[in-house]
Amino acid sequence: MIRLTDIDKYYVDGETEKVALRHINLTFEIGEYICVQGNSGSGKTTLFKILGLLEEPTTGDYHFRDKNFSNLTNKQLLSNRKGLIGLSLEQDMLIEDLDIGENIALPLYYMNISKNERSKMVNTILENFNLTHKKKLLPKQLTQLQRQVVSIARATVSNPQLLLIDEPTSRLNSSESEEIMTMIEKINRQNTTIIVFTQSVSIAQKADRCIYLSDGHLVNAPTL
Amino acid sequence: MEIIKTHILRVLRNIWTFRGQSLINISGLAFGISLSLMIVMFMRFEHNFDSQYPDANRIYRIVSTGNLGSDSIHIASSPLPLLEFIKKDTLNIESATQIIKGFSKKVTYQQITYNEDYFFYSDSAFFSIFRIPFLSGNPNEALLEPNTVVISQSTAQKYFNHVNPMGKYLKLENDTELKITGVCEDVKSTSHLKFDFIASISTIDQMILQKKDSTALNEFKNNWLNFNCYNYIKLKEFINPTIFDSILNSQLPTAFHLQVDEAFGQEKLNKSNSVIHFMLQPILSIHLNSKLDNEIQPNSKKLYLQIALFVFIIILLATSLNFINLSTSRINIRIKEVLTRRLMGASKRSILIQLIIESALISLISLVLGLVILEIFFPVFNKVMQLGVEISDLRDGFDIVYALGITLGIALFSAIITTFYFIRINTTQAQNPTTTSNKGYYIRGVFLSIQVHISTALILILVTMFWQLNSIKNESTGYNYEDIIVINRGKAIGSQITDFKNSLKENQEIEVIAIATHIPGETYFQTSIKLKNNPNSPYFLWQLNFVDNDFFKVFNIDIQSDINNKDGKLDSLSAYVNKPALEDAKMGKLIGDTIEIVGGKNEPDRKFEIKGVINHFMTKDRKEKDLPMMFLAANEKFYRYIIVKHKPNTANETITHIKKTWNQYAKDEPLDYFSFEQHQKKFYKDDDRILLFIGIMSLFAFFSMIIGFISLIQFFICINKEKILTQQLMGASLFQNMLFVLSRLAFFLAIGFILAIPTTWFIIVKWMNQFTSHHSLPIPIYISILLLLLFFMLLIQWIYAIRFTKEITKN
Repeated sequence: MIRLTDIDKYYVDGETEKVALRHINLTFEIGEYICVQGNSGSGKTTLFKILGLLEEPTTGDYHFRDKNFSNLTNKQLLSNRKGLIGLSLEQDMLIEDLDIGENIALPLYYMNISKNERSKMVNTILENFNLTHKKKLLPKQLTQLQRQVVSIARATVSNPQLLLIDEPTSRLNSSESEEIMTMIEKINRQNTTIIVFTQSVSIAQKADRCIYLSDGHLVNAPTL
Repeated sequence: MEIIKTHILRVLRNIWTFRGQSLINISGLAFGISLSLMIVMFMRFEHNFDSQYPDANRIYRIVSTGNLGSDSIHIASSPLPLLEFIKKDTLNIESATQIIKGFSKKVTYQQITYNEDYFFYSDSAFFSIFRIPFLSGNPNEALLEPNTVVISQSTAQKYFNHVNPMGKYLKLENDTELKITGVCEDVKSTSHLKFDFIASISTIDQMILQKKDSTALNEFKNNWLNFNCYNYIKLKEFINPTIFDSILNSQLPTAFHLQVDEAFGQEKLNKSNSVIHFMLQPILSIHLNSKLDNEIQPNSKKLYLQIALFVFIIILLATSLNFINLSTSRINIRIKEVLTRRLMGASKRSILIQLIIESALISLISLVLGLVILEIFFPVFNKVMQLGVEISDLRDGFDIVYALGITLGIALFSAIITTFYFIRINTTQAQNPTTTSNKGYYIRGVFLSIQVHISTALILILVTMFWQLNSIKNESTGYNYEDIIVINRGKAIGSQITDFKNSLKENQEIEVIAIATHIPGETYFQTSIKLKNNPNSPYFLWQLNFVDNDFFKVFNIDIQSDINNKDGKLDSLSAYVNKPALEDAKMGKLIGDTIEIVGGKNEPDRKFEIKGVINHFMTKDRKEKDLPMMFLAANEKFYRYIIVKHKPNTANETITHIKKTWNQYAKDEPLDYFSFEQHQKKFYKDDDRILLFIGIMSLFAFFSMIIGFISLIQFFICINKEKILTQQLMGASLFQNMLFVLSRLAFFLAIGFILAIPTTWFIIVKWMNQFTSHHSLPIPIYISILLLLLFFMLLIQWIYAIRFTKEITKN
């Protein structure tokens, strides 16, 4: 189980204090498929960062199964994140002068996994995502959809328990979006907890449940 | 290993992908490393003079300072008898030696004859102080006997090829034969004393005895007023040279004081009132710090070392900052990459290692390229700058360690700065580089200002120096210097000079021929004189040149003579003086007056009537005010140069005729001649070298500045990408976007430009102070140069701004 208890997050900018999240209490079960929705400035990105162990909350607790991720240093956040949480951002963040295989291998490289093992794991993922024939291509040689697929593939290569995906379909058309959503569902069926941060209604409809944020608070679903 | 291999492959791929920028970055660093290596070698060369002698810190030269009448003397030489006096102090002195210059000597072995300029006499202690390795012979015994000589390795090669020269005899022009008793290694170029021959000093005794008698020899060896040799001592360990210095001067023998009194008509004075003071000068300080007259060979100046050090620091700073600048200028690409790696689990440490490996690899590539550049260009640099540094010195351990150290140091410095720069950026900032990069922009801008400042200042200094040097070279010297050929060692012709001159004149191209002991620009004889018609006349120290009357025709020197005495010619009883001599004597006119040259002991004073005043005659160069000078008549037994004035554009024919005529009169003597105009050009040899050096540095600074421009423009466009695109969407043309970019750079450009003006002024004023006449660059030329530079800088900015803007908007 993944639990957030009384999470607050403030940013101080000079004399101004900006509240990004307030009184967030959330629980996720293993294998759930969650969608987080909210307008721009609602606190989605902040929640993404806290869940992804990119930042510490100002107050509150973050429990991941039997581990307490509260009050950690940056170094501890990093070491806990490796292999546990996979991240796929809105900008695909592919390194342009590494080929696809090397891009996907990046998390495994920083987990100090041996070259042979890395190679096996990468090849497995490439097969799963139907990218084997594109292994040696550079990112600039891919379409937007392919880039997004690679980004998600990279996030799953280390078999993370939690997968966070930020706006996976913002740059895709409807049929491409459909492909991505199918892919996400397929990953979820392998019992990976997935949280998708999006404004897309179609994704929200496919998720097990939706969480709505507004001005840093959890709110009820908006009525049409 | 795998990590390193991965990074190496990645870096190589990266270099290829961005090959244009990589080429600029690598070549910039390569040139910087290469130049800095050259300067380090130069600095070490200049700084290490005479340090190759063991115990060099205990070796001193005894120099002479004091006053003679109204003139002060500061000379590197000292009297001959000083050595015997010093040697008595066995408490403080480990050993002592003296060297007498042989001047230009004709040396013959069988059919081989050369004029040798590096001929000296010394004693058996010479090689115990200047410990130069011997290839043959015993250094402690080689100079014990009279008529013996030690020669250098290259001299042995020159005369004997591969034959062993030991025991063979060399002949001098006065038929003195010298037995070769030793061959030593060539003196290193880092020695203030360069020699090819060291003959035993007792040889001079033999020469004097042959020509004169034992009385003359005794007078020669005991003359305290003849500063004709260079005395060196090696102090024992832990002896304080200052204390020894004061002991030396307080205990000078009575003979010294008596001779001074006799020569200058003073009453017997206390010893402490001696007009001459002897000082110990460390040999390690001679090359850079000695500003004495009568040096064995010309020295350098500390100023050059200071300039070199300053330039070295600038080059290193510019090189490493440019490297960092260019490495980080494509900020949007780099930020994204670093951020991605961090998101994927890279620690700061692994990012740092990655950046270090990248920087180190690019730096090593640059180092290899830099060493290639050095190997190619250093011999040219060495020759043009007339340095004595050898490229083999580069293979010295120190230089290799330095080269590697500086390269990897730059790499490490760059990697640390870059890591520090990127590692603090989070995802929000990464998406909006503007918020994070303004500080980086201003820092780069300041750096660009510094580069503009240095580059502009160097160019202005270069042009100003060129103007000044060119102007003083063209300034009137009071004598003509064109179409004149000077024959050195003309005394080989001896008393046949009149016939020789007549034979030369048979050639229609030759106009006038003269003889002299000195030619303009040389160090002249000096002598003490007083005015006979003034009973209260003090003693003056004037320069002295022996010439014939044709000397003034050859050099077209204007002489003002007594209008009542039409026969103003020089003869054995008359003299000409120059205007500074008039001022020195504080007389309105000297013509008709009689001057007296002070003789030494047992030498009579000589009187001369002044028959003419030379209105304008540059005694040396424009770095010294013209010194008081006197011209006396040369005779056929006493001259050094034969000076030939020919018609314009007939140098080749004249030389051919000189060679032919020389062979008729002095077949066995090698002919040594040169163009006086070429000789004249060497007056400012050091300044020409500095000018060239500044020229090279200007080029580097300019190239460095262009790199600075490129990286700042690129950086600025990257961080303002959104703004530029938005402006384009809103209807801005390329030109308008360009103006936006350039307007942001204009501030830094202007600051650099403005600061260059006082910097230039300050340096030029300091440099100009060494000259007696100043020729400032006209203001319109200054302005034109500034405008030209500004135009060029704007052009560079324009070209690269267009390129990078197009790149952004295209994508």
